[in-house]
Amino acid sequence: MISIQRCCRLIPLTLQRLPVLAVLVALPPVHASDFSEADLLTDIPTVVSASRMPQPLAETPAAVTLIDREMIEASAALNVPDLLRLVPGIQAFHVSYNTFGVTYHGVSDNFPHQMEVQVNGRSIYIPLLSAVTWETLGLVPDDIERIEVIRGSNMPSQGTNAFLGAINIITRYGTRPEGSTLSTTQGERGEQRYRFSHQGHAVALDYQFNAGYQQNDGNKLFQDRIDKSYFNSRHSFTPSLNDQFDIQLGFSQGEVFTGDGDHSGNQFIGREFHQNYQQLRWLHTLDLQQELQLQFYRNRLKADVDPIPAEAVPQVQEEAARNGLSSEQFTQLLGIDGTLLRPSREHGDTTVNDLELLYRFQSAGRFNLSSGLGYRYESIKSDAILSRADRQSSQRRRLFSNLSYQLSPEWIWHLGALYEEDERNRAFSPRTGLSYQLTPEQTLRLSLSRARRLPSLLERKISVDIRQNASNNFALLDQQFCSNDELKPELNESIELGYLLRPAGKHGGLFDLRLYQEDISDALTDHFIPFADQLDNRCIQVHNGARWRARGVEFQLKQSLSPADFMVLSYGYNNVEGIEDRGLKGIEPLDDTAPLHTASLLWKHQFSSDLSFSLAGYFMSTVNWLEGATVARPRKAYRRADMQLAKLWRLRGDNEAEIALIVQNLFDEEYSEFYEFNSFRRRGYVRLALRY
Amino acid sequence: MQATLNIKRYILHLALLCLCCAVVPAGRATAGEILIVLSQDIASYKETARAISQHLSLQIDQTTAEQISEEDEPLPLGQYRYIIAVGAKATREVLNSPLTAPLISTFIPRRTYQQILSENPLHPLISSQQTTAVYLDQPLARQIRLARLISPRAKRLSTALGPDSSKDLALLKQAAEAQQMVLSHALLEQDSNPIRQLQPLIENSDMFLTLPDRAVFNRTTAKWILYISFRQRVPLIGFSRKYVEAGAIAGVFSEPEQIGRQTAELINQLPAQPGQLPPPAVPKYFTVETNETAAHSLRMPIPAADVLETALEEAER
Repeated sequence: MISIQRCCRLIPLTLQRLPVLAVLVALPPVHASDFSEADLLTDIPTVVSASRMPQPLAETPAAVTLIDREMIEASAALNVPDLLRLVPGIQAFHVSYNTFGVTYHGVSDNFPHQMEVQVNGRSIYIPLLSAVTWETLGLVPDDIERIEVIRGSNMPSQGTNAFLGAINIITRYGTRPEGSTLSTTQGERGEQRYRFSHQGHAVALDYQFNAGYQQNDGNKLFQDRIDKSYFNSRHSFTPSLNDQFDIQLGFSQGEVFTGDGDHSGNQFIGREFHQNYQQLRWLHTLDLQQELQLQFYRNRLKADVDPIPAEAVPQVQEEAARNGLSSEQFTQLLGIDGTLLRPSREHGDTTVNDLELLYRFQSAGRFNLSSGLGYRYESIKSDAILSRADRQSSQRRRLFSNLSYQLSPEWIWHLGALYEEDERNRAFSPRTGLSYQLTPEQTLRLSLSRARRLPSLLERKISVDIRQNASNNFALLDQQFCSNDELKPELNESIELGYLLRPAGKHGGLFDLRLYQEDISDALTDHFIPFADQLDNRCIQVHNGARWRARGVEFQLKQSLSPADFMVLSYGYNNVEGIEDRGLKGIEPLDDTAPLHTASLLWKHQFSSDLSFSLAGYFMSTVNWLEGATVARPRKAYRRADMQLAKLWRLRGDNEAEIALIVQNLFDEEYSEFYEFNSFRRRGYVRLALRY
Repeated sequence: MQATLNIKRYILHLALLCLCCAVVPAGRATAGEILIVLSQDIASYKETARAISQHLSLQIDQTTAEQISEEDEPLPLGQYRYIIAVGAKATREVLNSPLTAPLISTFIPRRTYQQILSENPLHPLISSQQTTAVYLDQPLARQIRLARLISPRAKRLSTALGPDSSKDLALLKQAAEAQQMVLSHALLEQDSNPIRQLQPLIENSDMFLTLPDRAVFNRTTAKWILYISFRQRVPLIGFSRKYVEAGAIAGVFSEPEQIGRQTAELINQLPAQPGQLPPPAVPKYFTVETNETAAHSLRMPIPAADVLETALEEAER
């Protein structure tokens, strides 16, 4: 809940800134090395994120929602966070036209930091901002095979950031015919997207790559435009039946404008970004029961915000005046040319290097285990956010283990734990649960977890000071943030009761219900403490000062209505009660910082094999986002309906062409997300794709 | 001290007796006419045994292979009319035990059963043809006929063979020829590069047939077979429900309940006086499963699963 952004309230500078057991139970033992019926019934490799083991939904230790390819295609989503609106309990929102936040059970600012987000097992959490920068990813819905969302803490499997939830995005690989796809999307606000992808093979290598470009003009009011280009590649090499090497590489670069949409006159600031990643994974099958995986990845993000250009000074000065800064103070601060400060703090260079060894064991029948150890090196270099030129780094070591034990044909016991340490803290996060199979179609699950999230490098080290210009000897004007290396881990103690119904038959469907209580304590918040400076004699220090209890119920119903129709209904009721201690600013309630109701409905009708229509509806009730709204002016409840009409033409050979008409906010009911002036009207897009 | 030891031994015997009574509910005191031996006390075997019991009106006792091998108490030799061994392990344990009643091995792959027979040619039950089987795996002809029903114009059929399934190559070629298809295959070993071998094979075929081999082989090859066949838009016939769920366009297989039912019917048809048993039988009852998502992705309209099932049944009449 730390908000880098809060410091921008003090001065006018805009500071901006987630199966086997049933089969194995039925799977007879392996008799020596002879072929037997066990071999016929063996599992053909399903949800990995919940316990790092392939498991059917009914046997996962946590609530899991899958967004599959069918839902992705029907959703009319242009951006990945939009897909997450289909998950019960999750709130996805535009922070600006091209930046996003995704949180579980609310209580978030514009940089949600309590959810882990991974792409193919690689964390995309950015240490520089202690959040995910969705806009810097070279990832669009068409790239995604499925998204596995763990609703609730999932630390034993996905590490310390999976404090309130975890998202693993699995990209499409091997599930598309060999060949190429060329596509473009054109639409509202100058939206232009071009994309090329190709998948093929060369002797012993399987490969896939895609490249794309996107630009738009952003919100009419703020002109918060984006332009970016990206490239991703993936290669698989299989030297033997038991070994597989996967190499994933990619980069994206461009410029995005970000800012606070809480005043109509605010100036949005351009931030250039250069992001690249490398991921190498070796999967080795030891035998039927044992598997080893060694993975290394490296992420780097370089974000550049230029110092304020002279021509922007009047606007910044105007914004400064609205925030109570006199013109004298402004001159003191910026000088006449205003070139001393960066208008946004989203500036710096950050890297993550992560190495992990994972061991999986599946005994024939009763016992599944996945254990591993990992090492992560993170670093940040930023004169804007650390007030120092040198690189700050952190080293983390972790040990984790997940165990599922079949007590009887009906009962499965789950036990998992993560131990993690860095320079300042160490934390142990256990989870245990029981699954009871009421009938072959119905499962009950009871889980208890105690999750401790280590404070991030940014949260410990953030230090922002505003100094005067050279003529004033760079004297300290305002200390905005003071670092706090004494932070303790955040704590989430939760209990949940889950019910899963998967009726048999072709139109079986799925009903997934979760009742929960989450007690969050020692949560990080911005604490105002006295500090002698020339401006306000105080600074913000991140502090373990918030606590809240979230109680609620959420469900998802997925059902085929006929061979040509399916629908997915998601609903979450979440009641939050809590407070945050903001030091000099006093105690503030958190009760309305999460929407009480979040809902979505997706329906698709297939008129024929080449013509389909889908509708998506979203609802979020009133919420007072931290930093995005105030008690007096909360973000109002909104409804949004999207539609998509898609027509496919089969051309000669295997070639095909598709055109899709997409309309978002169909009924043109203007609504705002996160900030008051970050508003949206009806917008239309046309997407053309040629596959050959 | 001696008295204490005797009491301990008495308690131990009492406990063992209670345990035996619990495991074999009908009890050895009132033995039934049929003894079912499960390879292990787990769902698939139990479902087979449940189906056998449902379709038989005889007195049935049930035990596991482990209990037979560890049994200290003498077994009621010759007391049963038939012994039904569910799975390979149970079949082996029964043949290794002093049990002498005619043996029906069920829920067992053909190759495994034949191997067990060839390993024990002098066993009295085998030499006197007092054994038979109900196989779990589908006859090759049925699987290839399913491929033909799904793709009537297919001419080139391909498959990947492992250390065990390679033994069926000649039979497989015969079955393919009977459906006017030319078979091509790749022999995969542990150090084979699956992409290098499967890619050209699948690329040059109209249909790919998966054959069960040892579990490690099945699991390690499945991913690449599914990936490459999908990319080349070559439909895949899976050998199990799991394979169809994972992406094969269709598959034919028998459920434990179906194998159990056939086993019970076999016993019901046997004469009251035990004689030679009939030859082993392929599964009579089977299920066809299709994957509509895979069919849609391959742009290949396929008949409904029940239509395919009926067509296979009619073709075998």
